[in-house]
Amino acid sequence: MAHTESDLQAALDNKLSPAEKARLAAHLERNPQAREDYERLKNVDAALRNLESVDPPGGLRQDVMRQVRLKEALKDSSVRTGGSWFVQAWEALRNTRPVFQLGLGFALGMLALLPALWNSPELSLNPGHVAGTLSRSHSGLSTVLTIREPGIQGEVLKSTQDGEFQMELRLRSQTPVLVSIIPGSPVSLVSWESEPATPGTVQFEPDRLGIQHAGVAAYRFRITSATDLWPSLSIRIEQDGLSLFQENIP
Amino acid sequence: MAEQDAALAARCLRGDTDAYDELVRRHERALYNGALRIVRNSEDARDIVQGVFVKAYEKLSTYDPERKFFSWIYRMMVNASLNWVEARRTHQELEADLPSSEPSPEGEFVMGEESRRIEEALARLKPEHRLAVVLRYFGELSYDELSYVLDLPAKTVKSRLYEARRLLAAYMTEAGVSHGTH
Repeated sequence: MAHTESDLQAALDNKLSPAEKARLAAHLERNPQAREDYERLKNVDAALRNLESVDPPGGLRQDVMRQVRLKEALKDSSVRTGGSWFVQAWEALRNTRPVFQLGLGFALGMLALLPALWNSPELSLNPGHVAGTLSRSHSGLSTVLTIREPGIQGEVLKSTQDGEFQMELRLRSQTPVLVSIIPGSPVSLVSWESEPATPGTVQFEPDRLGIQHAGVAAYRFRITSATDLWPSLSIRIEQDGLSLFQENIP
Repeated sequence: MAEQDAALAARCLRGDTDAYDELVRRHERALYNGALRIVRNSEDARDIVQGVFVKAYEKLSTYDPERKFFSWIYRMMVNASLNWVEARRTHQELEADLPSSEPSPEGEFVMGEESRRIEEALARLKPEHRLAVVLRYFGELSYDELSYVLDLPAKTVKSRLYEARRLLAAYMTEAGVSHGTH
């Protein structure tokens, strides 16, 4: 049986020499049961070879590359200090009338949108980084809060360096959500970046920082506070006005 | 192809993410089809393949260029899919979620129906048998590559594949599959 099995396998794989083929043919000729078995196996083989290959889902490759580039960005880059104009903008926003907030918000949105107009929709590191330049990340980030809700997973990481505080939000959601970072004490934003670049999705409001999030992304903020202590911050995630997650950031 | 894959992998290791984009483009179809036949759920297959590609990127420095990149990443996909099946098995029976063909032209309809029956026969196989078939026919792996991916001796792989074909023949006969007549 083992001999027949290996011969049949080899025949199906088209690996028999002419002599072996002739020997198998003779064997099948003498043995109707073996011939029937072989025909059935050949049919199976042909059917399997003819099975339709299914197209991979659209966007699979793009999603893979988005994650790959996100990982590269998180591994290799961070925002360097130097967004002093951003501090002023942030402070100005906190202290101006709504009409000016709207105007400045629009201008920032347009500024952030420009790189997207010049680049392909594929992720690149620079577009959408409203403030700062890329530099080596320091490795002090540590997870302080984990988000595990149906359809939303993520974590908040923090670090302190040279009197500045860095907070990173990594988030994955199946559907669009609104994330709010709400300060409980005076805080100044030095700079921020997101990866993938998502122009216009981070909004600065007097009492909170809003992020229109969907899919997989990371947001990194550098902030200072009036004291040398971490400012009090909380995070809220909502969808269509319904709160999905709310926690103080430890 | 294999040499080009190795060259692309080397470029990735030098920081060229576009090279990885090309690797994904080359292999996403085979990996997706393999995962789909193992886990039998299109969304789960997508998640598995996406995760495998990302994990492979992270572990690219461990890839041995002497070996085919495809075999290396295919092995990851198989392990991830089997882990998924194992985890799922504790909760519920596997459910069929296979794509159906467009049934418009008559010939395509016949072929689509036949494919469906074969897929159903495939689904009746034990995972280890189904896996051998999937790797052989969808991954188009050689026996040596099958042996590497399954971490089994080549002789065992051949025997398993033979048994899988034999069972499929029986199931397809039961279902009245008429392949070979057109």
